[in-house]
Amino acid sequence: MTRSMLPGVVPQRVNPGGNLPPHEVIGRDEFIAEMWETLQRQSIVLTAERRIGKTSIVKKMRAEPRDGVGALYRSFEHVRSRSEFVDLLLADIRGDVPYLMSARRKVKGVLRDMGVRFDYGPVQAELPLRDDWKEVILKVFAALGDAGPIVFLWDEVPVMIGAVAENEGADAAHELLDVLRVVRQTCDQARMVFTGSIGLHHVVAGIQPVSYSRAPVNDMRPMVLGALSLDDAVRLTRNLFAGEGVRVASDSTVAEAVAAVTSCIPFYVQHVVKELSLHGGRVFGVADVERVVADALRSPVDPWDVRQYRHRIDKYYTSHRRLTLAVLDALAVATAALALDDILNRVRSAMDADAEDVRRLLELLQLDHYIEKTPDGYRFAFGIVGRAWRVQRDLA
Amino acid sequence: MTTPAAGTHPLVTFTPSAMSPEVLEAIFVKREPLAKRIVSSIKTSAGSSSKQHWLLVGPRGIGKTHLISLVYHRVTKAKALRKKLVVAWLREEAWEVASYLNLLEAVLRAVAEDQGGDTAALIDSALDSFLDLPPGPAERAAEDLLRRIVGTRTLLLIAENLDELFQGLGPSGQRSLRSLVENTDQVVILATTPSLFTGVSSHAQPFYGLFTVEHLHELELAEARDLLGRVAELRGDTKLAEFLSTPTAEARLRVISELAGGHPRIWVLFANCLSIELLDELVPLFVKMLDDLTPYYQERMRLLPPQQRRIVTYLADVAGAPPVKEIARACRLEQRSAAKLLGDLEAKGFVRRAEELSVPTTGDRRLTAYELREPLMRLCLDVKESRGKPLRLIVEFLREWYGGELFQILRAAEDERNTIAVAYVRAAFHSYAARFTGMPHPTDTDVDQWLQAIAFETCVAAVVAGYVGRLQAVAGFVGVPLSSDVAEWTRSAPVPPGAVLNPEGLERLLAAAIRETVEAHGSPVGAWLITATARMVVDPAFESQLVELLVEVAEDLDPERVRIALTEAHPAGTSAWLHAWRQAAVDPELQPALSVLEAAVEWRLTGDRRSLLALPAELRQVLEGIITNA
Repeated sequence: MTRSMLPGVVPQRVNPGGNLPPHEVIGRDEFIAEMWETLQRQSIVLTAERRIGKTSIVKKMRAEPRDGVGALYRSFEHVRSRSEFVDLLLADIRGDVPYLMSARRKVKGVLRDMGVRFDYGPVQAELPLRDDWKEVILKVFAALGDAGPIVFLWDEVPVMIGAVAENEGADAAHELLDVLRVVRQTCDQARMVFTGSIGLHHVVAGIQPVSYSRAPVNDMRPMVLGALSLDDAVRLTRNLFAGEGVRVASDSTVAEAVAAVTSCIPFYVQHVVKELSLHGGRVFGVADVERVVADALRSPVDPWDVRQYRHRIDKYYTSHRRLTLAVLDALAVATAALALDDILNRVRSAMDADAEDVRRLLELLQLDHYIEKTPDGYRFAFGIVGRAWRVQRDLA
Repeated sequence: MTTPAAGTHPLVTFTPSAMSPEVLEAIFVKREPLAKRIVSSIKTSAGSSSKQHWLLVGPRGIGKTHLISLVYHRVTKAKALRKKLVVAWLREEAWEVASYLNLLEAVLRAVAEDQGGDTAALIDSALDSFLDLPPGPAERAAEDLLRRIVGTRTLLLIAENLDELFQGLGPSGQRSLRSLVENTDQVVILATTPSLFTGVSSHAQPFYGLFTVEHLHELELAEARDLLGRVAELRGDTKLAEFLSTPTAEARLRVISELAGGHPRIWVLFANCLSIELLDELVPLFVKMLDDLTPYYQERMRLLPPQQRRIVTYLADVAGAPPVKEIARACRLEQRSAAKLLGDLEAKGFVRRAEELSVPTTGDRRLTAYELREPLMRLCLDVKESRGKPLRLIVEFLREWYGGELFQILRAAEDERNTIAVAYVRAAFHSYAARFTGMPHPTDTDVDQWLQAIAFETCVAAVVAGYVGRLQAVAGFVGVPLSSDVAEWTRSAPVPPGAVLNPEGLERLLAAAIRETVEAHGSPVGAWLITATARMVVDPAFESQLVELLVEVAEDLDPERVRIALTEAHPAGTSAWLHAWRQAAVDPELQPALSVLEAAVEWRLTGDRRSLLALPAELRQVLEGIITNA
């Protein structure tokens, strides 16, 4: 019996970090259903550890929208100004989306009145920046009211906000978030899903007081996307084995090993199978899976980009860099979850540390999905991240 | 708690472990909550199989020994708890430990001291017999003996300088100790270390994560004042204890806190310096303490690479916490190299970041400021550099605390010119005079001129404030007796302090004061200024008449004398005059007179007539007239 003949196995090709066809997004149907359910009432901020599959989810939602609901996807990774944002927004509205037909006519009318060309070629707002861009956004959304429910699936919003803050000032970034908030409050038919590779809290904290870190999006429901379930991770692994022709000693055992060692994170599952597939011709066992992971984490070329866990600390935890490193070091070498007092003692074995600083840091690290809080204490949210941390930091 | 009689000095020795429990308790500030937690934890550990171990971290002189001494006394005083404990306090033994066996032997000796009697005899005999055994069997025998002696009780192991101890133990010794702690469930460790070390901070080491670590921090100003107050009470000096709660004391302490850097041992030193007569005894002991510490710091310095040593020496010499940029420049290093070296020094516990100057949000180390982590290191280097001269720190303290009173103290101590106390007071007095004369090394003449200014500062302040009694003090201060009519007047018309004198009486008083003190020393500029400002105090409407008065006064005086006063007065004296007047003329009504003096002094010092442009036209004309005529 070939692998593809095994019940439930659907061959898939590896594509770590790449765009997946919607039908290859495994194990997320329930979560997506919950998102659609939520979107009936409010917008969403989708957060997750990097490489978990946020973009795959929103693209799947775009490809498979609920009946009667429009879905527009856009990544704002390269946007650095408010006017660029407006241009892209208008471009999306202008796009070939049938259900927007009547709304599009209305929007065109509104924009024409404002002197904006909308018919041919790229949209050019050509507006002086001060306040007109706000008006465009508000009026466009108001005009969209006739189109029926629309979900704007916006990827890398935090990156965009950060870039706008850098280029046009913190006030500008703040204004953009505020306008989008007004839209959500006034345009009942429009919903937004923000997602991105960095936490919005970092960006927002940089543009306004910490006490308001949730304020611009506190009308949106935060939803955390976790790793796959073990069953789904095993299913994905087996699909990939089949798709890549990887021969393994025991299909379920090795697949379970892959799922466990990668903490069921699809990106790392894909990479493990890919690495095995490159050494085709032999039969692989659990030990080979372990070797692949160990080699990847130790490799100087960092094929899995695990150094970003360390680099993010330098970028987003500057004011408490040493303390953050000490906290994560302590958690990385612990064999079990650690209570706050234990973390404090271990950190104080390395440096003088204030208990409140540590407490706040632990909250931030949870928001950034480095760690999680369990009834027994704190630990790395994903074993593979903890392991990568130990390797990066040369810890025992 | 019984208070030792005034005149006994229980704090002079700087050795907390040798102080009585009463003294330790009396001067214990800031850390009461921590002390309670530790004692409570020891109680819990003694009564159960769950053990909590403590490690106190802080530079030398921060109060570690004081804290553990206090904990020791509290724990051993509680009878019920005492029965459950066997205490082994390793004091200086850390230096002797070169193996786990050595440690066991040291612990047994400490237990012998704690238990005394038959147990001590047993231990002595056993220790002797261990010398005939190979190390392995000796270790086992020592452990067995220790277990037998401890029995069902808990061994409280107090160890100072744990970093040294662990270095002596080495990795296998540390593992053995960890096994002992783990397997017996009867050991509680209370330890101190001047800085963190690999044995507790490295994840791979056996003691990682075992200790509850507490970093001891410096005293805040309020805590330091509390400490000084307790020292004053301990010495029965109620006057000082009361004075410490005044705003004047607060202001002085604020300045002095910069010198102390919050370091408890230095504050205890300062507390002792509050009684100058103690200096004779205090200074040699303090210097001895520093001398004893010096080899420790020298050894630590020797282990540093040359560039790091240069940085530490620079930081020991400089005041405050310079930023990395400045350190790099002073040590002739690239900034990036300096930043890296400072990071290494920080990890080794030599330096620390000065929070107020760093810019943490950017993470740019070049903007971070650093200071020495151990102020006593600076003092040890100071002792070495000073070569028998008065210690800079004590001199600076005396200067800030006593200020202008130093002269009186010096005068009073004239018969004891060769004592240490007099040498320090003289050094402090000259340091004080140097500040106000603007000269780093004032001569005796400079100081004399400045003394006159002090006299007038006191005189003017006394007159303006109406403190008649102080006029007598002024006369005594400069050794000039008050004339009989002034003395008579003050006796017949006593005025309560703070009362404003009537104009007639004020003028008589002024006349007498001026005659007795001003004219005798040839400073007429001050004469007409005192007159003018005193008139203004009495009659607020007088300001409009100031010009006339100045003319009148100027006409009264011999212009030649005025010219001499303005042109030939010693620069030190002139500046001192200005300082004295600035101190006295806090009332806004005195500002016009002060501005005249400032302009005159400015002219005197620079020779630039543009100095007078600060004055209103009328006053400028008067002053210019005087100067022109001169």
